[in-house]
Amino acid sequence: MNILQKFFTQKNSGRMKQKSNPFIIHKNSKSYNITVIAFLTIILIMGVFMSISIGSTKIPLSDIVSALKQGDQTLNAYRIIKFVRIPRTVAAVLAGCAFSVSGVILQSVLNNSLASPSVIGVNSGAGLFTVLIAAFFPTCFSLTTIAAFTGAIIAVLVVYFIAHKTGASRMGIVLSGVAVSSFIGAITDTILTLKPDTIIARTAFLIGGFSGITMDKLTFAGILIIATIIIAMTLSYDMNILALGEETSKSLGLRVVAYRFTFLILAAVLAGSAISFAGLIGFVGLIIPHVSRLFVGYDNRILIPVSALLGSVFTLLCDLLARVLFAPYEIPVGIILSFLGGPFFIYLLIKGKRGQLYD
Amino acid sequence: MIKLDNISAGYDKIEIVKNINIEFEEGTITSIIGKNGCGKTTLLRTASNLLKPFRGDITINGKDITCFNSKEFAKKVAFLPQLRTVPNITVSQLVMHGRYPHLGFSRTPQKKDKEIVEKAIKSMQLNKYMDKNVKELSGGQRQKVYIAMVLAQDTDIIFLDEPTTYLDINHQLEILEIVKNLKKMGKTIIMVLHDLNNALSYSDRVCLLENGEIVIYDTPQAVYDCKEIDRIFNVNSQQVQVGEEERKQYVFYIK
Repeated sequence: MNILQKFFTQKNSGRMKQKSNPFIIHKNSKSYNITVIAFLTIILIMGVFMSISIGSTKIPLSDIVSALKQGDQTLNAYRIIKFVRIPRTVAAVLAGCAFSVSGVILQSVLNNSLASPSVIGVNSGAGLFTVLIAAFFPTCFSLTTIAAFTGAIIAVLVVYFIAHKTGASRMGIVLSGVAVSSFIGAITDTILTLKPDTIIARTAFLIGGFSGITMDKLTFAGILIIATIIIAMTLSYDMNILALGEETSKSLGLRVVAYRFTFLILAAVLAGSAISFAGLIGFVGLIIPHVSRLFVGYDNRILIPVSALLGSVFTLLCDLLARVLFAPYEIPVGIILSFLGGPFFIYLLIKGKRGQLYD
Repeated sequence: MIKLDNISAGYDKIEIVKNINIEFEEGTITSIIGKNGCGKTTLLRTASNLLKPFRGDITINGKDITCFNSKEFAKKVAFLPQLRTVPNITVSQLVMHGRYPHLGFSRTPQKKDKEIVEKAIKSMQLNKYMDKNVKELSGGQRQKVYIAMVLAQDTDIIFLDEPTTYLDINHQLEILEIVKNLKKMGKTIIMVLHDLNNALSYSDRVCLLENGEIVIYDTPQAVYDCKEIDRIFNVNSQQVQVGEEERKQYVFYIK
């Protein structure tokens, strides 16, 4: 049991005890879930203020409030807050929750603990379109955001179309995702070979990060991410049913093929939107759902909001580290995410004996 | 009553079951038996609308099953597959999933749903496992949880695909006793069984399949007497009476 769980729960919990002592919070009870969400929300709010305050120029909390109140564009602090820190913070929060919820959806719908947006071709599709813009329309580099999103969605539609021909089974989707990603990867590499100038754009996309981001870049993606997460939460119970397997869920009256397609599109829209401004930091989408499950279990109704919050917190803190660790130099957030996330994930696998649950 | 009229079905345009005409009567237990690969599961999947037939009609109380939408159908017919994805949730959560076709748009269980789930858990004597993870249960307990889910689904017709496979003898008989109780509740049970003795001892009707076609569909005694089982499985059989109640049991041995 980890520290947070110890903090929230008492061992050997039982329903009878819960009635007898109202001050004990039991794991997976309603009050436990609310406490976890409240705790993560507080951490997120603190993280947001830290993200706005800390950087190469430190701005105290009191100055943030007064600068925002005054709204004076001649003030250095105001310009930093409005045009650098806030967009960056919003980007980290949006990307974190989008990748995490995308991961929850894919892992649940495909019943595959290794599922992440890359499995259904999102990364390769977005990557190809980014390289296409850099190679053939270098003057329209501002279109990269839309192109990456479009590429991600097209790749997923191709994957699903092929999988649908074979019955749209979970394994069919994964296999066609691998095949399509491999094919798209080959096209991308061919373009990179013929147009070596595009390698810079490709590298920036691969590593990912939030530097130089503006609110304009975030508006479209942000609306999509928030709307998609709301839809995913509305359909979270249906996602629980789908996780029972094709025959059982069909027998319970779920239109399996239609729902599976819907969830794949939701996952693709989330990951595609986040990739469009953050590049490939999709590792969040693999680890955060697993970490969230350690706290709240497998019920998607609670898992989705908890993953969204935890993903935001984790990405925000990693971005903060990326900025301050070697200041005034900045490390791309994707590197920090992998440096921290990888070992932490291994720790969880060993300590939490997760292997037992994935037999 | 569920009726299959001239049904042919299979996979990839290959007919596995052919020209099936059968009526499963209300409040009875029917076992489908036959050699491996003869089409038992295909017949069960077709009858439960999981597999679209190549031709023929399936009706429930005279109404074609294609007229039902997926949720309406799930309120009439439940299907428990043999191989299942075991979810990482508690027993009570899984049983609550049985109420899915009855839930409204918000998917929020009402008081009635909770009462039905509680009753289903109680009838399967699973009260002490309510908060346990389904993955942590033994095969027999897990099967009972799934039957509780089917009970919560509250359908008149229940299809069970090899409900006793992989279970020890005690759990096999316990599950079959549960099936008998389901019949007492007025449910129509149609199941695929590999154990011929269990099929003949626990069923009201037995459907014997060979190469996708029905050889005989009759009472266990009539199916036993016609000796078609001996021919198809290439075995000898003997009927014995055991226990104080002199219950009929069937012994099969190699020729």
